[in-house]
Formats: sequence, structure tokens, C-alpha cells
Amino acid sequence: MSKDLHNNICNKTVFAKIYEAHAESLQRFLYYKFGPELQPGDKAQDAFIKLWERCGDILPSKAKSFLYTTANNMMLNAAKHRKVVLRYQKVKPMDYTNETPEFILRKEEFLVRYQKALSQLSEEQRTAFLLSKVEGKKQQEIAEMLGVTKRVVEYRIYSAFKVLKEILVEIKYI
Amino acid sequence: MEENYLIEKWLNDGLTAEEKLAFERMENAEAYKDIVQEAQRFSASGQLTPISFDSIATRMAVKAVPERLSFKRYYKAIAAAAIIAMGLLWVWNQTPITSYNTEFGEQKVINLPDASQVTLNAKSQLVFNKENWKDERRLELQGEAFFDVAKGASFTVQTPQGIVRVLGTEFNIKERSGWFEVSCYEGVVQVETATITQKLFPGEAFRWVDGKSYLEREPENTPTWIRHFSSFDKVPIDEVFHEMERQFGVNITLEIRNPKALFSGAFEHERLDTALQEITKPFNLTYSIRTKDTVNIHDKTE
Repeated sequence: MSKDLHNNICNKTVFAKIYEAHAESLQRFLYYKFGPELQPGDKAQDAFIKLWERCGDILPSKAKSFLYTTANNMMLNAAKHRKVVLRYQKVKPMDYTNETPEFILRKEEFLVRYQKALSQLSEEQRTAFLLSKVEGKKQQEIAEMLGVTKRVVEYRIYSAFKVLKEILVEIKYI
Repeated sequence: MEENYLIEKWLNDGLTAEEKLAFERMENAEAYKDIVQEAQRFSASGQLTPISFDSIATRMAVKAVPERLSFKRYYKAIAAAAIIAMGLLWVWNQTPITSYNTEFGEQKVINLPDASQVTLNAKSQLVFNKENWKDERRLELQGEAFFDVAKGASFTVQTPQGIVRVLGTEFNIKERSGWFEVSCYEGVVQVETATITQKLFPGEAFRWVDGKSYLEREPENTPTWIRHFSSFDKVPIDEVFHEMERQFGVNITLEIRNPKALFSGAFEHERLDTALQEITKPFNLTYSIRTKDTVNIHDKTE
């Protein structure tokens, strides 16, 4: 069994290390899950303040899951039943080698549909899918962030994709 | 099935070399890859304001060092606070309010000042006033309880969702978020909600769910939870799992297509895994016990 080297995180240097390791990733997680409107950055920092206030009772090995759970809970009430619309990067010339004006137009249309499709996913599906495919996180890591098993994460990614392909595939090839 | 199987494995980076070829041969393989590729455009990069450590360091400084209290400086205030606290304690002891609480998986039998008896189910609260019990038998309930009421003055149970009035009888009240159910086993009970007043005779149950009321049969002679199992008649499974959470003190998350499917049947309070099997099997669901007190329920994948 591994032992925690420092038995608490009240030391500012230790705390700063934890912050550097997890702050951005936590902010991105909140963004994918709840969208841009609810200030994911502020909520991520609030979670760190909560961690700091309770630094004496939380072992370094438990800090990560404490942060995700706390941030998630803080967002939950505000975010219930909200529609999440994520912004996308516009298509720029040179993004594709075979671009023609029509092609770019079609692509732009496709992205608008994609955006709608993402809002239709449940927040569980969307978060798992984007963390995996955009952030490139491993299933195991996502499972730890969400506090579920790896199998559940795999299922969420798959069910998210099923919805996306239902909406996006036929449109593209008409 | 072949195609869905390949897609799932592909999404989770688990394709063997052979399966990879099969995947590439699928009609929409390119479109699928495109969907994953284009997801990049929804990246959080560029959408978020950076949050540096410096920006919370100032907030931390405020919270971090608790100021040392000097006893000398504050002894007057401390003395005053102590006197006030003692005063409050005295007032508190004078109020004859009695309150009982049960924790997860716990039941309690409570003898009321007369011969009446209340059995409190898990995670419930009962409050009453001892003082004027003879004149007014009045209780407040949150949760679920079985009442065996001795004959006497009017007996009233107030819950957040409605009032139940009786004259000597046996009845059960189940008051849980969005759910209010009263079953009558003996005598006559009157249920009053914001909109409806309903008299219940033995063998009848009144159910109030999401603003709609139903009059049901009550086939048992006492509630089954007294005998350590919970039974349900056409109850949505998410509510069934809520009851399971209360009986076993676990946290259950549902990942299922139809949480409102109706369940008729029962589970015992003895073992969690047996109870889970009893509910999940008929609905073709599976469960995983992740830690000692968290359970996940999901659909069986084909």
C-alpha cells in the first residue's frame, strides 16, 4: 500500500502543486458538463478554496476526488435542466485541403447540427464523450473524475456517439 | 449487432487488427471518424479564462491563519455568552417537545403517552408535544410510520403533504418527496391534502403522486416493512430504488432508459445483493456495487 508522504495539504507549496496539477482540467470538466454560462473558472476556484479550508482533514490522495465532487455539487443546483450550448471554432480556409465555398458552407451547417446534437445529449453522455475524444483522457481517468466505473464511462461514450451518429450521419451524405 | 459492437470497441480504442479492417469496411466508417475528429472544434481551449494560482492566493491568505484568541481580552464576552447559553438551555428544557429520528436502515417503536404506539421506518422523523397530549393528540411526521392508535380524543398526524385524522385505528403513512400514501388497516381514517379530503376504510389506501390522487386496495393486515421487507404495487422503479437507499443506507445512481417503469413485488431488508437482484432481474437491468455504499444500476447491453 502506498503511504501519503505529507499527511496534509495545508502547506502552501504542496497546495500550489495540487492546484497546478488539477485546476485547468477541473475547469474544462465543468465547462463540458455545464456549459460556458456558469463561470466554470470561478466554480473551480471555489472548490479549491473549500479544499484549502478543510486541508487538515483531507489526504493528498483524496484531494482530486474531493475537488471534482465539490465542484460538481456546487454547479448541480444552478445547472439543473439547463440547455448547454458549447461554442465551436469556425471553419477557416486551409482547415481542409479540398475546400470549396460549398464545402465550407456544408461544413458550417454540419457544425451547427453538431452543436444542437451536443445539447441534446445528457450531461453524463456529453461529459464522458468530450473528455475522451477532445481532451484525450483515458477511460479510467474519466471514471475517477466522475466517480463511476470504467464500464459506465465506456457505455456513456458509446451511447453519446449513438445519438450523434443518428443526427449527423445521414445529413452529411444526402 | 456486429456494427454496434465494432463502434463501441472503436470508441474505446479496443479494436484488434482484424476488427479494425472490418470497421474500415463499414459504409459509414469515414463519417464516424469525422464525428470524432470534428468534436475537436468544441474544445474548451480558447473558450475559458485562465485561472492562475496567484488569483486565489489572496483568498487563501484570508482563510488560512486563524487568529489566536486572547482569553484575557475576551473573558467578559465569554462570560456573557456562557450566561446566555445557560439561559437558553433552561428555556429549551422547559419545552415539552419530543422528537424521534431514525437513521438509514433503522426502525424504532415509540410508545406515546397513551396506549398508542408508532413504529417509525428508516430515515424518518416524528415530533410531538407531551404536555397537552391528553387534550390534543397531534404529531408531525416526515418519512414513513405505522400507527396503532388507542381510542380517545382526536388523533392528528401532520405531514408536509397533507393531514391525517383518526379515531382509534391502525394505519400507515408514507410521506416521501413527491409521494404521499396512507393505508388503513382498522377503523376509519380521513386524509386531507391541499385539494382533496378522502375517507379511508380498512383495506383501502390513498396515494397522492405528483399532484394526482388514486384510491388503491391494501391487501395486507400490517405494512410489510414492519416484517422487514418492502412491497410495492405498481410503483415506478426509481421510487423503489429510493426506498432501497433508505433501507440499506446506500447511494444508488440510475443509468437506465425507463426509470418510470412500474414495479409490483417486494425486496427483503436483509441483504443488499439479494434485494438488488429482486428488482433488477424482471426489468433486464444489471447492477454494480462500486464501494461499500454506492451502487450503480444500468441497462443490460446486448
